[in-house]
Amino acid sequence: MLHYTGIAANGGIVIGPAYHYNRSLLVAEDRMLEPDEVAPQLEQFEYAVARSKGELEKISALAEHKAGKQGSAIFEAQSMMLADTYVLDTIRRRIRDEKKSAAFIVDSEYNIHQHFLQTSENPLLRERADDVEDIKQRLLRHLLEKQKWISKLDHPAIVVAEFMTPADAILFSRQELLGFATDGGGATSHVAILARSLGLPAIVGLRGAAAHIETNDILILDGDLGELFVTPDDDTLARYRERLMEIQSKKKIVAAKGKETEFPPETIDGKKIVVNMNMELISDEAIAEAESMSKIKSKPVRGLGLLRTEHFLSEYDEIPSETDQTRIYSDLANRFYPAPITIRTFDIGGDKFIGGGFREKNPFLGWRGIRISLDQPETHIEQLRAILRASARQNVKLLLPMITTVDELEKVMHYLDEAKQELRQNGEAFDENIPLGVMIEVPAAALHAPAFATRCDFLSIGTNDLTQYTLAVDRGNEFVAHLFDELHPAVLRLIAMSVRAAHARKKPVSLCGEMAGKPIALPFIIGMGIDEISVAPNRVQMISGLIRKLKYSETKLLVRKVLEESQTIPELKQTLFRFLHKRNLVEDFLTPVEIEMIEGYGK
Amino acid sequence: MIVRTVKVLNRAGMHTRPAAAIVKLASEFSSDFYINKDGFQINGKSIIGVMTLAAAQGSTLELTFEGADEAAMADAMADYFAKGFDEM
Repeated sequence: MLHYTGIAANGGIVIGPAYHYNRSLLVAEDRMLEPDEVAPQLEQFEYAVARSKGELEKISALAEHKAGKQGSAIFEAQSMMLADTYVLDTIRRRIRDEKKSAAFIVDSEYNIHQHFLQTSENPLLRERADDVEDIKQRLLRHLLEKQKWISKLDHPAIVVAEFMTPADAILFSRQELLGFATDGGGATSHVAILARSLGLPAIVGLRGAAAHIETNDILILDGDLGELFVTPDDDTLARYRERLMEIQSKKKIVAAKGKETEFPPETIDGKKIVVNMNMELISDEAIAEAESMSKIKSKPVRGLGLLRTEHFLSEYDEIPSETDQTRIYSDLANRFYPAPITIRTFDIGGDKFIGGGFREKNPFLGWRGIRISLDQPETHIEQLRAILRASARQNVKLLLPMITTVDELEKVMHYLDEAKQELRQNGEAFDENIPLGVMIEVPAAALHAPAFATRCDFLSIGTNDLTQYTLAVDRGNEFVAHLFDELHPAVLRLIAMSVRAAHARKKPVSLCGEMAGKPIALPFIIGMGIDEISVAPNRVQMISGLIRKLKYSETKLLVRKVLEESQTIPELKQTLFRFLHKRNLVEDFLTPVEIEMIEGYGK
Repeated sequence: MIVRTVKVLNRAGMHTRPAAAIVKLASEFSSDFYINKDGFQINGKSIIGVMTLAAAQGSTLELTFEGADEAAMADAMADYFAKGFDEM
């Protein structure tokens, strides 16, 4: 039995076989093809070449636009290397002659060239070996990804990986999954967020565990404590089976209690807080789940507080056409009508926009979110038109990510007017007064909130990015992830400033991000007077339940106390903890790990 | 068949940019084009091949041309080498 401890990313216990997913090394299996596989393999190879070429052209054009001829030279060279007919013909011939998979031949053929370059005495040429590697990986990605996964998982399993991208996690979500365990990532990495929205137990930051786990090893994943047991002994298994039984009987009791009859939930003293849902994942299952959660007495009332449109990119592999976007957004708006849905324009990093080969030194401070949209006005206007069409029944709000300057907001307003004008001319229906909101997720936006609140219709505070940018902590970097904490006094101050700025101008404020789903933070959120929160669908019941047990007047006092007195994170958490403790809410709403950690501060 | 012996003159050697230019120039002709160095022979119309030759400043290469336009191709190529790939 091996035992590892990582960061508990989502609670729950699961026992099951492992599936070791190896993303970092795309290596092709050495396997003989059946005679009827040769032609499809050749076809796949041509497809991979075409896709890779398209990606490189995009990157090259972008690099030239951004960095001039010099900047695009490297991608141009890669394009030429990819278009090397001598090499491509050799690969085609070898697939036919050797009857091995396209991926295997690609791997082997480029390795030969790479080896020559790596052993060169000329440092410039040694660097070129990296270009060959890039090309190889790009082709392999198109040849191996997706098919590889989908063909492999034929029974429910716990996915174990060194590293996983959000796109990987989404692919996995289509399978019968039991949980996630990854070496990398912090508690708020994308994998952790996705695990929470899928309601799957997950441990991240396991540093070095994945290498010791093989597919079909039996695992116990304890997402409450962040503990992973590999091929557990009989005692451990028995202990966990007993705990699972206990949990299941408890769940039934909670489910019986948790039926909601009123929306929105209100505090004891009558303050209403709208609790909506984040859509992290846009799969049929996720939409169906959200739809059922939306309904109270068979009417949809609970809306989507945040629809992350960038996830369509993972689904479609590229930006969907205006027609597709119109169809997707309108369909969602209709399914939830009359409940509102908030559609956020693409919040992507440059890597997702132009394929895997585009790397920035500092992506979080780089080309992403609204910056990409404003640099690609045509794509942006297409999205705005699609969102506007979906707003015809007046239940759609428009939200902009990564806004840092008023200038950016004004540019979008200009494009929005343009898009409206076009739809008007075509006689297409849309909401003339579609509410336009700005995400407060960069400290600059929070500090400058009055200017934004004056110009737009609502503010939406994204606590994940606001925390990351305020504390200068990359939440996906396991070396610093422990420094990421929304309950830092500085972050709460920025949130409070934004709320005040909005309310002074009679504009509503919503809050999305992990913090909204955390019971420990909820009294503070309510006390600030936030109008709407948006949480993962599986947190809706719990958070609504807690709202009904709080008094708004008391939470307002709590906010004052926290902002005036709390100097450190432990002090602040203890104050929040004591607030819940006095009201006997700790046992029902906090996890054992949270309780243990906060009680530990006092000692 | 025409055989020419050339030298790499520029300081950086036959790195990506010149390799790309050589292949581009070669693709304008229909003749077969091979580069020989230290007993290695690579296809001169393959950029990866040309790069893997790792020809540093001062290396001597043997170029062979065979086909309908071999004479014009040999002249153009020898000329490009003589100019140090426009990097001098």
